[in-house]
Amino acid sequence: MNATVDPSISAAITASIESVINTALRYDPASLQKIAAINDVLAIASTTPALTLYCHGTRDGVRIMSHCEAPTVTHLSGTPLALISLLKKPTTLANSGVELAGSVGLLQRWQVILNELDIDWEDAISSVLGDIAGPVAAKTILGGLNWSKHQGDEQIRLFKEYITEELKVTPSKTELNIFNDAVSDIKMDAERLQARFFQLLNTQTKNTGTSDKTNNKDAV
Amino acid sequence: MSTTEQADTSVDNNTAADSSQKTHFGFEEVRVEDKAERVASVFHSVAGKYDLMNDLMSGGVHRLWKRFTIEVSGVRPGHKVLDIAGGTGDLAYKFSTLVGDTGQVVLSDINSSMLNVGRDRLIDRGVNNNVQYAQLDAQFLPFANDTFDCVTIAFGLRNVTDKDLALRSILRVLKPGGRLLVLEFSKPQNSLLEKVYDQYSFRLLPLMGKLITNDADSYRYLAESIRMHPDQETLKSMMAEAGFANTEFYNLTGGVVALHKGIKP
Repeated sequence: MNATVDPSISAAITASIESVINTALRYDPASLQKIAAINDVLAIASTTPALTLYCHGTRDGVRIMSHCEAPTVTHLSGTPLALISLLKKPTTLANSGVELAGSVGLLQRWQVILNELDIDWEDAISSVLGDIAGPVAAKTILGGLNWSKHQGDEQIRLFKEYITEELKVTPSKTELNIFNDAVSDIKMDAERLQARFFQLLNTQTKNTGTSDKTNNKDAV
Repeated sequence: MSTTEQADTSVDNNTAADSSQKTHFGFEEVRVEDKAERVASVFHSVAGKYDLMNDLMSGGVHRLWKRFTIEVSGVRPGHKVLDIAGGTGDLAYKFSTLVGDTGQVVLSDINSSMLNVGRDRLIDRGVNNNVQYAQLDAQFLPFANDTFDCVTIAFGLRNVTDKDLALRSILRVLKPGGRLLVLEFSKPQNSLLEKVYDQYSFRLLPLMGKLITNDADSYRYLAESIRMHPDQETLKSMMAEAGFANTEFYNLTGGVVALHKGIKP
């Protein structure tokens, strides 16, 4: 429950998110059908700001609530960025900054649906612009978005190469791996040396002990 | 707003010789037997533009209050729900989608005009298989004991004459473990907000009523009846005295509206 947020505000947030998601889902009937089968409640808690949303499937789409009386099967918590990045790359929780409590199975069901999401954006845009302008606009918009994403990825790759190869501010991945291997070798050599030293020490201790016994025996 | 037509049962001690009981109709004191008719005329007058006025008066926020009420209800498929003073069917429509084909919703109101508008709206929205309609008085519910999983009354309790009687009647028809939700205007928790709210209620609302429905008096009554309604803690105590357990309330929009919840033990 969201104790610190006025319920009117949290209701406005959930209503907005739910409306956007369900409007998009109308153009992916297959996903809508899968979502309708999910009756268990998933809680998604943002740490900053402190807000928890609860969701489960209905035949009309996703139901998102700020307050839930039903028991929660799975509870995710993390920063908003961490939670959103989980949606983008729903593969593993390791090093994601998101904590999970409860059933992993429910989360996996949602991840499968996200991975297989196939919203017919052309239909969605055509419903607004009409059957002639719609497909053209959809092609232009989607093409533009794909180009932007490609350019963004390319820029990041080029920037990484620039700072490692041109400016040489940071070592490259290969140089870093070589360095790490060298450090590992030194570490293993040091451990071997330490083991040999203790072995020699033990041997000498045993020899000293045996020699003492012999001298004592001779003395007797 | 709701449309129950009973008068408060407070007795005016100064007129003990005149044994007629007095009650509040907004800020006005009227005889018990007159209040019913006065309240009825208010809601017969506003029924036609009730939803429009709700949207205008609250800026659409009433939909958020009702959405939160639905969330707190915990209603699920197969449940039986009674919506008292359901008026034009906002809550009943949502409940009908939640209870499914195996559940049941009863939309009730004491005012036939409001009930007719609610029934027409629900039928127009294609709801016809799990909703029933009943014209009834919240103080004397005509249902068997332990019938409902959830009873809601949104913006109606303040118009009930004998609130204690209504609360006990609701307790009777709830199943053990069932819950009552009372969504009602209440006392703002911030003094600045309270001042703004007073100005809005007593100046702007009647003006809006006059411009849109040509009925300023009805919306003046709305503002006045809100001020006469018990505040958050008082209503919570009343529910506990009526027999409800785990009573609590949520302040919405700074306490302008409160949602009270109680469980039948």
